This record gives sequence, structure tokens and C-alpha cells, in this order.
Amino acid sequence: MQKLLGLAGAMAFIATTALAQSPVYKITPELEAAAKKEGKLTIYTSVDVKVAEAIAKAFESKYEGIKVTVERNGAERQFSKIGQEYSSQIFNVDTVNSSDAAHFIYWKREGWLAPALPQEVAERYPKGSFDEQGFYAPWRASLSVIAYNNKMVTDAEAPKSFKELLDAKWKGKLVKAHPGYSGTILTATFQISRDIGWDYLEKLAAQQIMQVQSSTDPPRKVVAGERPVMVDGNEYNVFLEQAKGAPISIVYPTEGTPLVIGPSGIMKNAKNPNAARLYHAWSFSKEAQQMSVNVGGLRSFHPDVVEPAGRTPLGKIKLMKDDPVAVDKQVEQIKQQYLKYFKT
Amino acid sequence: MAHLVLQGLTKRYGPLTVLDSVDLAVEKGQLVCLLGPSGCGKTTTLRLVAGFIEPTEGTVRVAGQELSRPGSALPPERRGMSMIFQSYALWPHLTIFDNVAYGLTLRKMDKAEIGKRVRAMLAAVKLEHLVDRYPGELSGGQQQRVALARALVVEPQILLLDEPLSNLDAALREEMRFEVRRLHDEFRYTTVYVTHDQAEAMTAADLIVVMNQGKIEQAGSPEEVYSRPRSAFVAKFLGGANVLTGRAVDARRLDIGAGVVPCAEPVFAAGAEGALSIRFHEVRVSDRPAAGALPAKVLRQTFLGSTRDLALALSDGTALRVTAAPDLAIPADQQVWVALPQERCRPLLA
Amino acid sequence: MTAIALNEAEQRRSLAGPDLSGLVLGATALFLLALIGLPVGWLLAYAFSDKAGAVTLANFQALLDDPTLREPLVTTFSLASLVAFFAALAAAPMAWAVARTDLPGRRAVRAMMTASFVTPPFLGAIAWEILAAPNSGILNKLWRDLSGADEALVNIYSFGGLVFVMACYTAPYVFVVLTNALDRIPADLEDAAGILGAGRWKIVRSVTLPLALPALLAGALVAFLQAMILFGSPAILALPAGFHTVTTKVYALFQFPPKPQVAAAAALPLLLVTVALLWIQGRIIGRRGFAVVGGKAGEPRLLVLGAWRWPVLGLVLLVLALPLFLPYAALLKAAVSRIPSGPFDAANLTLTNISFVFLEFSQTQRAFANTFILAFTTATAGTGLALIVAYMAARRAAPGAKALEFLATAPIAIPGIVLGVGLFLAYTRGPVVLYGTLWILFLGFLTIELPAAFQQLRASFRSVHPELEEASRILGADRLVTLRRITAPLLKSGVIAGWCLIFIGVVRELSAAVMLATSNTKVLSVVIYDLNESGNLGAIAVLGVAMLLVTFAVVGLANWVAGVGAGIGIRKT
Repeated sequence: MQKLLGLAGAMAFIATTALAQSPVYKITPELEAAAKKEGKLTIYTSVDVKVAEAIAKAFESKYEGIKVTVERNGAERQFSKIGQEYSSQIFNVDTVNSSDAAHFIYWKREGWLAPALPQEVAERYPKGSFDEQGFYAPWRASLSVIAYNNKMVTDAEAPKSFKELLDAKWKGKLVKAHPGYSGTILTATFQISRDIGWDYLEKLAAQQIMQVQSSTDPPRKVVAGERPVMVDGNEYNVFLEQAKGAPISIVYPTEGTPLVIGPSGIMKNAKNPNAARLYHAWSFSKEAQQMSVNVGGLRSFHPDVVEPAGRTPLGKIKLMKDDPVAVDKQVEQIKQQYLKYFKT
Repeated sequence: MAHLVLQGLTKRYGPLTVLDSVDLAVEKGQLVCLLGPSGCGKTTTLRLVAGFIEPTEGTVRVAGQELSRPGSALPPERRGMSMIFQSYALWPHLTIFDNVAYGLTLRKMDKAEIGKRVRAMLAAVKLEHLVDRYPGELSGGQQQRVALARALVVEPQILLLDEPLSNLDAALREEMRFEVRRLHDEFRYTTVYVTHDQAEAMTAADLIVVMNQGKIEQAGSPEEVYSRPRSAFVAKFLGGANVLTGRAVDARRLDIGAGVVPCAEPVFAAGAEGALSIRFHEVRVSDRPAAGALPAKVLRQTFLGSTRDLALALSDGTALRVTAAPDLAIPADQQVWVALPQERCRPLLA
Repeated sequence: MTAIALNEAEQRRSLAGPDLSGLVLGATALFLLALIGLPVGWLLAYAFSDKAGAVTLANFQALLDDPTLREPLVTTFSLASLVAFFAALAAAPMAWAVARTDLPGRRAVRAMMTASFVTPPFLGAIAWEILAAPNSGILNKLWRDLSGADEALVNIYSFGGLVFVMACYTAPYVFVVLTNALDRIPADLEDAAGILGAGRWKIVRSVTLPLALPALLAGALVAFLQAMILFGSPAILALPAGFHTVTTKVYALFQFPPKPQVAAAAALPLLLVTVALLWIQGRIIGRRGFAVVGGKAGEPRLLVLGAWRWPVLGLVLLVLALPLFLPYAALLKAAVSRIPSGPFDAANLTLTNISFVFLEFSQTQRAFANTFILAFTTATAGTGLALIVAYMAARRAAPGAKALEFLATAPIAIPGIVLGVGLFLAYTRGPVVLYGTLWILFLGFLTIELPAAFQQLRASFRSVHPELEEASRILGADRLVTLRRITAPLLKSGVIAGWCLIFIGVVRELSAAVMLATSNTKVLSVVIYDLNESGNLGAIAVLGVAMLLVTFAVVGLANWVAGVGAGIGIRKT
């Protein structure tokens, strides 16, 4: 947790000025009543659809009478979609979660977010992990990892580092998700290109990789045996597959593992602002965070959350550094470069 | 004033003139036949009256009211007319009853009244037993009667018939000819009837209008048009006739080359070209010479049962067709003499 | 009889109600003009402007210069050519066997080819992922088990794989065009050759095939066009294979940061090629096709296959397995499997996909509602619109009917994804903002599906004698009343067929929907597409099978209603 705390400092990228009104709030009976009066809520999220629906169902059963609609898209597509909708004055989305933290910098700049900082986040979450003005807070974190099908590849054969994936023996055996679609992969691509270099990706492109879109997909392809090794993809989906007994093992590469923080925020033009605030506050509670860790395989910033046994604690993993400000600036360049090498 | 008046009615499609300045007046209750070969403009005239097409020039008036002129035509559904089509145009998805009732339902009449009128009309065409059938289950003649009933039941201002009998076999056609006339005598609707069959026209019409190449050749009662054709076309189209041309000797006599023929009326200008017509059966043929008879040679003779058809050539080669008595058996190449009775030789005006 | 005479005043009054026909026909023309003109106009405007809105040709320059834009164009045209070739190659013998031989089960084969037409191509592509992914694909696993080989038998994630899947789902177009033509080749043409001493096979080669050739070409052209404008299959298979087609590229250009100007420019070549090909098709059919087809003498002569009938049937079934039996089996299996391509045993069997789709997944209900509301309304409105336009075209009822006919056919030339772009550009700004509503999808689907329904109905109009309508008008019915009371009932089977065509088309439409749907207006095709992006094949299988079941049910019902109606209406004719 110490390590995560330190890394999360990267989130403190915007200097904050004191607000006229404090964004800090907590769940009150009045808020609950107002939320139930609205009776519905639309969540846009890029987290795996089954995880998102499970957490939404937990919320629905805790606060009966609020119907939650989950709209799941890859972070980058979700970002395009919200952009299209907002430029057409369509305000479907109440609260949003994205695996590309840079999106929140953009949305905050555009003035699309509402300040709302759950008291629990303000008091318990690591300082610097959330936006001081309360526009967003880290709802989840995950890693983009290498993984392999341990029925097809022995532990000894398995790659230990990114560089090892360039070995000729992996030609035609790799699967990889797409940064034009997945926020996780965009973030990871940025970190890898920064820390290892674009020439690694250029060589990787020559390995006849199988290109899928979402970072949730490579673990499925590995489990299905379509490709024995995934180059990137969600750690949490690997956990979920492992929980089902699937033959898949994780590798935390020696160069470091990309850390992807997935913040959440409330839209200023939300049609159901109270339901959004209720959900937002609840989703950061220990109860919800523990659930996202247990059921969803995610990593949490909540200090009281307990990591399930069998998962490598974050503290033992060498992590790459997240830098949403830089991602926000370089997004188009990253995608162009990727297109050049990978042709899609 | 006449009920239906066509004035200078012209229809052109691009460079093609289908109808060329037709004038016609039809009295109320009259049945007029437009008679002519296909392409003569008779159906175009009918469709102009119906309002399916707009005239290029001229007008259509009914009861003094102008219904069509260039650029503006009251749509057919507003004209209070009805029409019988060559294909009968019975709607296959409706019963006989519904077919006939259709026009009345459009007039927002109550159900009981519609039922009464439809049944009365079907009785008039002797089909009351078939009310619940579909058109596909009826014979051609029955379908024709349904079409008549459907057109008549709405009590049209004007009834239009477009070659209504042309799809029937010969026997049925003859029967229906009289039926049309009988129904007209019963209901007395102003009727325009288009046909290419002169027998139909003769049976049905009060007034026959012979049309050719978009123009009216002659209009008149059946007797008048038949016995006093004014043009070679009318003479030939109506019943068939020999048309003999030559130079007028004086107002009454025509030199046709093989001889001089006196005509029924004095209309020629001496020295000018002229023509006369004489029906096939009006020519007298004899194997012996007689006063005023012209010599001719038999080219071909055909026995037709009740008559004998002869093809002759006059001394100058002019061809002549004759319908003679069946017992007059004259072999080919034999010399004969033909007499052209003066009262049968009609001078032609055009 | 005079006792029941209407007086003249009564006559005139009752026939002098306001005639709305002219108004409705005019409004229809205007609506059609706006429907097609607006999106295409915006598309052109964007293609020729830069980000600031100034006129420029730079977008087209980019098409030529930028290899990431140029390559998809080349890929698309070679893809479409190959698809057309293989679709024709597969469909031609099938059509011939079904239409001109005594093949057992001919009718069933026809019905099954139609069923493969109902299958959305994107669903077919996903099913083939399950079957023929190089390592996990069921067929490849089976192959390895049987042969002991290391290499995959087929790799669906490849250019060849994409050609194969697209050919599977465009072959029905060729098949339908060709069987229609073969059905109508009169027997006496073949008999004439027979009397001159030609043997059976000689007749087939020297008479039947040459006569069917224009139809084969026309069908192949349709397959080419379909392959060129298809979005779903390439979106699913080309990305893992590592290449773009024009449609996926246009879609990608719309993702953040969106480049609508370049997207519009990239879309235009599709538009131009389509127009050119349709023109060529018109020439082919105009000059030779109808000259032959339409002879009416006699039943077609069926070639007696004799001992060959079973081998031929086997071959036909084998071909049918590709678009139909294998994919459907794969979908059904995936619906109840943990791992879609895993072994079919108790350990892999699960109901979680079904319970997830129907109990947990919050989009299921709305997507079903949206899809079938849209399919129903679009089919109904589209049939009405097609009926009016076909009426005007067939009866030359209004000046400019020819232009209307063109407008109603023109959307064929507009690929769905391009239309989606155009509609997005047209309706995300004033005066009418429709983006985010079902209306924009409605307009998109209406535009895309109009040509098929229009052509269907125009053909039907040829079978209705104009005098049937004139008889109605002269008795006092205006054009609209005539259309409703006389023409429409007579066209019933054509109308129902048109309605079903649109209904099926809407359900399987993805390319425009993916551009136009928002979270509240998502349709099933888009939900399935989204699920595919994250690899939820089990959920897709459940949704896809449910969607097909509802579609078959509705189409079956519509035809049953039509059948019952026809039984009452026309007994003998």
C-alpha cells in the first residue's frame, strides 16, 4: 500500500485553489430520499461489463427503487461517445468511470464534471490520489500484465519480461489489445513507450500478434487457447478467470508493470444528480471497494480493503509510473505511432 | 346546348399528334360511338373526357361547365362519370357485390341503401345470383355484365365505354351488343362508346363518329354514315366499298377510265378529279352485256356460302370487288358485264 | 330504376371532398429529397472542407498520400472482387441444382438459403470466430486431433478468412437473383436445342447457362457491392488480422480525436464506385437480362439427376453448412458453454450466459425494445413510402416521377457507414437535432432499406393492370383512396414481402447503427458489436440466437397473415 500511495502522488497534477463551497459530502437520509425520487441512474464505464453489472446490482439491492443502467464501452470509445453526445446536447450519462485517467483532465477542462468528493475519499484515501477540487477520484486501479496459458506453456518457458516476447519462438503466439479502443492499453502503451521505447513496440508488431480491441479480451483468448500468451490485458480479468479455475498465470515483467488508474466522476449535466452522488459516495465505501476487489479482481485505494489471498500484493510488484497529464497531451501521437507499426 | 362538348381537342406527345383539333357535341341521353382503327385517337378522346389525361389544346365541357383545358383538368374522381374498360378492370380481391357497391360507398351512402341499389342493378344485368362470388369465378360475359352494373349503379353524368366487348367471343359479343343498347334504352345515360367494330357501332349508337389519324372523318346517324359516306376512308371502314376515282365530266358524272359513271348527287366540278364509292353488294354482275354496263374480267371467285365473292378487273385494269348471289358461278378469266346503279354511286367529298 | 336516382347536386357534393392526394404525393417527394439530400449534402460539404470550414481538396490528397488511408481502399476493392467471385462460384451450381434439376428437397434448400440471408453478417462472423479461430477454433481443434498436425486448418483472422465469411453471407444474394432468372427461362428455348439434337448437358452448356449469365453477373455485382459496404464482418475479423477496410477505417476516423472531414472524403470512393457499378448493372440487365427472362412459355424443364442426385444433394448440404449449419451450431453451443470453443462436456456446460443476458445485463431489455420498435416502425413506414413512390413511378402520377424513382433507388449507392456519417453530420446540429433519439436511427434505417422495398413493390405494380386503378378513380375515389382500397390489397404479397425485407434489414443493420446509436438508443446489433469488442462470446451467442428467433417468428407471422389473407381474397384468379 505504501508503494501505491507514493505512485498515486502522480494524480496530484492540477494545482488546486480553495473552492467557495467545499465539494466534500456524505450519504445522508435526505440524499438517499432525493436519489430514490429520481429512481434511476445511468453509469458509463469501461470496466468489464460483468463486474460493472454486479456492482450495479449490489447498489440496486442496497438502495431499492433506483434502477441502474450500465453502458459499457472501451474507455476510448466511451470518450468519443461522450464527446459526440455532449456536442449534441445529449446528457445521458450521470456518472462515469474510465480506465484512461487523462479523460478526466479533458472533461474537467471542458467543464463537464461536477465537484463531488465523498467524505470517505477526502478523509481516508491517500492524499494526491484524488482531485482536490473533487471532480474525480480513483475508483479502481488495475495492472496491464503479461499472462500465459499454463497448459500450453510451462512456467519455465513463460516469458519473464517484455523484451523476451520479441523472441522468435513467440511469433504467431501472442494476443494484444488496442490503444485506440482501450484506455488501459493506451495508458500502458504510453508507459511502455516511455520506459522501454517505441522500438520495442515496432519489433513486437513483427511478431504476428493477434490484435483484439478491449483489454478485457486477451485473457479470454488465452483461456480459450486461441493464443498461449497475452502481451497486455487486464490483471483483473486474469484474476476472474483464475477464480473460475481457468489455466492462466500472470507474469509481472521485470521492466515493470503498467499501472492504470481508473477514476470516477459525476457529470455536471447529470439528469439524476442525487442518484449519481449517492452511487458515487457508495462506490468508494469499503463495502463497494472490497466487492470490486473480491468480485472484480480490481486493486483499490481504500486503506481498509483487504487483498484476497493468492494475489501478489502491489507492494511486491515493480510498477511503471502513471502520468495522465502526459497521456492527455500525447494521445493522438501515440495512436498514430501505433497505427504505423500495427496497421490498425 | 349539348351535354358533352369537345372543342378543338388536341393531344400531342412530343412531336406526335395523337388527336388533332376534334370538335364534337353530344346531346344528353345520346349514345355516341367513336369508331375507327387502332391508333385513330378514339381511346385518347375517351381518356380526355374521363380526365385521365390533360389536353394539349382545346376544352372538354359537360353541362356547360369546363372540365378540361390545357394545364388544368378536373381529376377523374370529381367528374361524376363512370367507365367500362377493355379488361373490365374488376377488382379480383372484392366480391361481385363489393365491386358494384364500391362507387356507392365513396358517396357515403348508408349500408341498407347501398345493398338495395346494388341488388337492383345486379338484377338489371341478370346476375343477382352471383353477388357473393369473386370475379375470377365468373365467365367473360358475366364479368362484362358486372362491369356494366358497377358503372351504371352510380348513375353517372356520362358513361364511357372503352372497347368493352373486344375480349368476348363472337357469339357473346353479339348478345352483349344488344344488351348494351337495351340498358342504354333503360337508363338513358349520356354515353361515349369506343370501338373498332362497325357492327357494334351500328347496333348501339345514336351517333357514329368515324375517326382516322386523330381527326373526325364523319359524324352522323348509323344510316347516314353508312349510306352516305363522305370520304373514301369512311366508305371502306364502314361495311367495305369500292372507291373509284376519275375526272368529272360534269357535276354528276365521273370518267373512271373504263367508262363514264353517273352518280347519285351532283357535286363535282367539271374537269376536276373526283371519287365515288359503291358497296360490294350494290354492283350488279351479268354474263351478258346490258345497256350502260362496263365489260370486266373475272380474276378470282370464292364461294362463301350465302354469297359469292368476286374480284374483277375493268377494261383499264381498275380492280372491283363484288358480292354476288351464290348461284352465280363464273369461272376465272371469263368476260362479264357490271352495272353501277346511279342511286348507289355516292360521290365522295374527300 | 329512376326511383333511386341521385340528384345532381347530391352527386357533386359527395364527390367534392378535399383531394389530399396531390398534397401527400408532393410531401412525399419533398420528404424523400430531404431524407437523402441532407446527409449526402453534409457529407460532400465535409469532404471538401478543412477543420476551419474552408473549401479544400486536402482530404482527397490525404487519401492518395497517406498509406494508412490508401491501403484500406486497395484492400476493400480486392476483398470485394474476391468475395463476388467466390459467392458466384458457390451460388451458381446451387441455384442451378435447385431450379433446373430434380434435386431432392429443392424447396427446403431454397428456404435455407433465405434463412442464411436473415442471419446478420456480423453474427455469422462471430460464429466463425468460434469455429475457425486458428488455435481455439472448434474446427481447427478437431483437425489437429484428427490429423496430429501442428498447423491450423483455417485461420479466420486473415484476409482469406474474411473473404470466406463475407462470401458465405453474400452468396444468398447471387443465389436469389440467379434462381429467379433460371425459374423463368422458358422450356421451349431448351426444347428447341433438344430437337436440333443437343444432348442434356450440351443444352445446359449452350442454352441454359448463357441465358442465365446476365443474372449471374448482376448477382455477382450485388455481392461485390455488399462486400464493399459491409462493416460488421471486417470490424470483427480484420482487426485481429491486422488490416483495415474502408468501412472500418471510416469508423476509426470517427473515434477520438474525430476527423469527420477525412472520414467523409474516405467514404466518397465507395459512393462513386457503387454508382458506377449500378450503372453497369443497369446496362447488363437492360440489354440482355429481360430480353430472355419474361418469356412465359411452359414450366422449366428439370434435368433428371438419376444416380447423381445423392452426391449432388451432399454437395449442396455441404455448401449450406458453411453459412448455416456450422455457425448456428457454434452459436447454440457457445450460448451454453463457459468457454465458447471449449469441449462440449458437463464441465464446460453453463447457464450463466443465459442468466447474465436476461437477468443481469441491463441493456438487454432496452436493446430488444429499441430493435423491434425500430424494425416494426421502419418496416411499416418504409413500405408505405415505397408504395407511394412505386405508385408514382409505375403510374407516372406526378411530374418528376422519374426523379423520385431515382431518389428511392439512390440509397443503394450509399454504404451504411457512409450514411451513418452523413446522418450524424446532418442531425447533430440545427435546425433539427435528432442525434440521441430513435428518430435518427429510424431515418437511417428507412433510407438504407427503402430501395429493396421500392424495387420489390415496383415489380409488383407491373402485375396490376392500370385499368383497375382507373376504374376506381372514375367511380369517385381519389388517388390515395385508390391506393389504399384497390392497389394495396392487390399488391398484398408484394407489400408483405417488402415489409419483411425491411424488417429483416433493420434487425441485421449494424453499420449505420454503430454510428448513430447512443446508450439510450442502442439496438441489438450494436450491443452485440460492443460485447464482441470485449470478447463476451457467450453473451453474444445468447443475444444473437434470441434475436434470430424473434425475427423468424415475426417474418413467419407476417407471411402467415398474408397467406390467410390471400386465401380469402383471390380464390381462382
